[in-house]
Amino acid sequence: MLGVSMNGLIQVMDPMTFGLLFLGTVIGLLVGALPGVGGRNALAILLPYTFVLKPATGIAMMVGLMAAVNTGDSITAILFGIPGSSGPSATVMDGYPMAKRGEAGRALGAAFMSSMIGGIFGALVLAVAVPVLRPLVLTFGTPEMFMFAIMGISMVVVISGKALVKGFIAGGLGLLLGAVGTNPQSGVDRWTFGLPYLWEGVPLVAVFLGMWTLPEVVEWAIKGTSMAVDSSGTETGMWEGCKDTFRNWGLVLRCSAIGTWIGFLPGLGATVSEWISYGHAVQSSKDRGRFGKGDVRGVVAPESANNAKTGGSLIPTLAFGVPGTGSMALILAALMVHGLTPGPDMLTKHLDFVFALVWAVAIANIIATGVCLFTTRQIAAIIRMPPYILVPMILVLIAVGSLEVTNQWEDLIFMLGFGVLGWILKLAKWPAMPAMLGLVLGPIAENNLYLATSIHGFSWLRRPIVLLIMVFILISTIYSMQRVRLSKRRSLEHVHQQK
Amino acid sequence: MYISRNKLPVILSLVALGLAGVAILTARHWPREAGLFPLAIAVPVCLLAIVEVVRELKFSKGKTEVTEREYDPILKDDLDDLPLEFVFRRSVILFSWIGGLVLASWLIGVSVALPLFCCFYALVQNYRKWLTALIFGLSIWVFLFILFRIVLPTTWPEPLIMHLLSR
Repeated sequence: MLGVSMNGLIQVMDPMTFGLLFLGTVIGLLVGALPGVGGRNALAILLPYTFVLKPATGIAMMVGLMAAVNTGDSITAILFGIPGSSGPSATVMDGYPMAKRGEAGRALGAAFMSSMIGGIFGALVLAVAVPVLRPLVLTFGTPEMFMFAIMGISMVVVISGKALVKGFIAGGLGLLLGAVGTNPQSGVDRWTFGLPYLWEGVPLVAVFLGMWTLPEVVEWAIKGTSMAVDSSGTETGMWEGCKDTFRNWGLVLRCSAIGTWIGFLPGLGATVSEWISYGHAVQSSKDRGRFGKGDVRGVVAPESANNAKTGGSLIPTLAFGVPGTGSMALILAALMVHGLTPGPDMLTKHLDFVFALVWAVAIANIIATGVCLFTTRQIAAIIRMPPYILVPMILVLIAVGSLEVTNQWEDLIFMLGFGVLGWILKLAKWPAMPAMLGLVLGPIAENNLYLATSIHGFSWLRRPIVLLIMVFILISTIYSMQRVRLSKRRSLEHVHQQK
Repeated sequence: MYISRNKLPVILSLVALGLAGVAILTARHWPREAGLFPLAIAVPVCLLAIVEVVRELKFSKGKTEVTEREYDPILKDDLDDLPLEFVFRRSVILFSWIGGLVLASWLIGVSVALPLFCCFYALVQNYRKWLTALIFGLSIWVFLFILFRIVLPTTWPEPLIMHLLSR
């Protein structure tokens, strides 16, 4: 096994392969940092160019790009509260408040370092898991997928803070918004108002950019100040952020394991892994009151999970030919073009190729982190730019990003409409994030619920793994609610005492 | 003319209640496959919205002097210190700019509207000099051109003006 692993490393260290892996990683970082491009689009553009390369070279380049997108995503999430293209990123919950407080460097350092560890963890799991996990994946069906989506949705409790009822209402409205469009099971148009544009549902990226990012931009513009309230520690906190990752090594490893596992399950996506990890970080901490206000653990947890996901999602793609995401479908296409059929052959005839990919994922994460750490000073300096430059620049990115998915004028109208709504929610102190979480996870939950009920009737409710997840969700939700009530009571008592 | 900060949450709760109510009424007429999920969500949302309306009405009557909102750093932000009239006026101006950007994109195209927006925003909204505004707009155009035309050949929707000219 060691010999095969070394063969894989030799393939990756070939100057041509390493050079293109480096290039793919840098492209991935840029793509991740620029809303509006999207990792999947960049992979699709790259795909034809890889056909002329050797399989290990071409696919290593694609894997490098994919592995780095999540690291690049964290830059805009932390500095501007602009999420990644995959959906509401949990990193904004604490990373963005840290940047506002003048700790952008620390948040970025923590994000990059935890991304690297998560990515390497995912690669290691990929190396050992392919032969071992095959029977496990077969035990996971649509009922378990539904329960995982519900677990993601249950994070509403965690992210609503003390505005729990409002959070539930917003989350519910997000789920209803996610139901807009043609129902694939019955063909009924739900709340489309006769508009073909809405047949495929509301445009997720445009809604998210409007509802979350636009209100933040409007706030800077109104206040007329630069983004960071205190920018003194912006450039110096990077190493502190790196140290934070190692101070919370247990959390990083646990969240990496969560990310790898979610990546391993097809169809759940980065958003679920990020939010479950974020929820885990909150629930497992003794002083949860700091989350949402700029706690570095709120950055470390989702970042380690989303990078670990890449290694995890390669497992079903390589071993069973089941691509869990759109990006993995493109990797699968590249494999097929190169005459590599996923399945048992991958574990026998092409094992050195699998190990080359494992090394590619690990090395890409190291390159991405290295590049980011060396440029953190320059990146973090952006937030000190005057608002008359920053506000229109971010509005340009928001407008371009909104057009990313459907590329229709309606995207911009939705962005604007939801921007107004997001602003009203902000003024009224309603949490907007639960609505977006509901919007992303609603369709996944509904689709899996329908399939589970059609295939198994209601007997799926008695499946052991389903029951286990159900009990876990119930306990963690009740526990979180109790802690919210306690902290609410304590803060009111404290205020009364002060008076 | 302005809605007070206390009334805004009540209005939002009422809107949520209305939306959930409409969702229940419409979902009842759909086949089971299409209606079950929206109904299962809308009913609890409706109940929670009622709870929230009652809670907010209690707060707005001033029965509780100390609310957690006033002392929670998550819920409190810098905007609270600004007069609502000022926030409202600036919000209208900002959203008008964004609305103008959307309208201009539709009329003359994204690749022209975005640099123009940056140029005029710097010139009119922030009182910059013509030259500064022009350089700013031009740099945005160069950035968009390099990224979305040369590196990633992206096709944005056709503007109305092109549609009219091609007739």
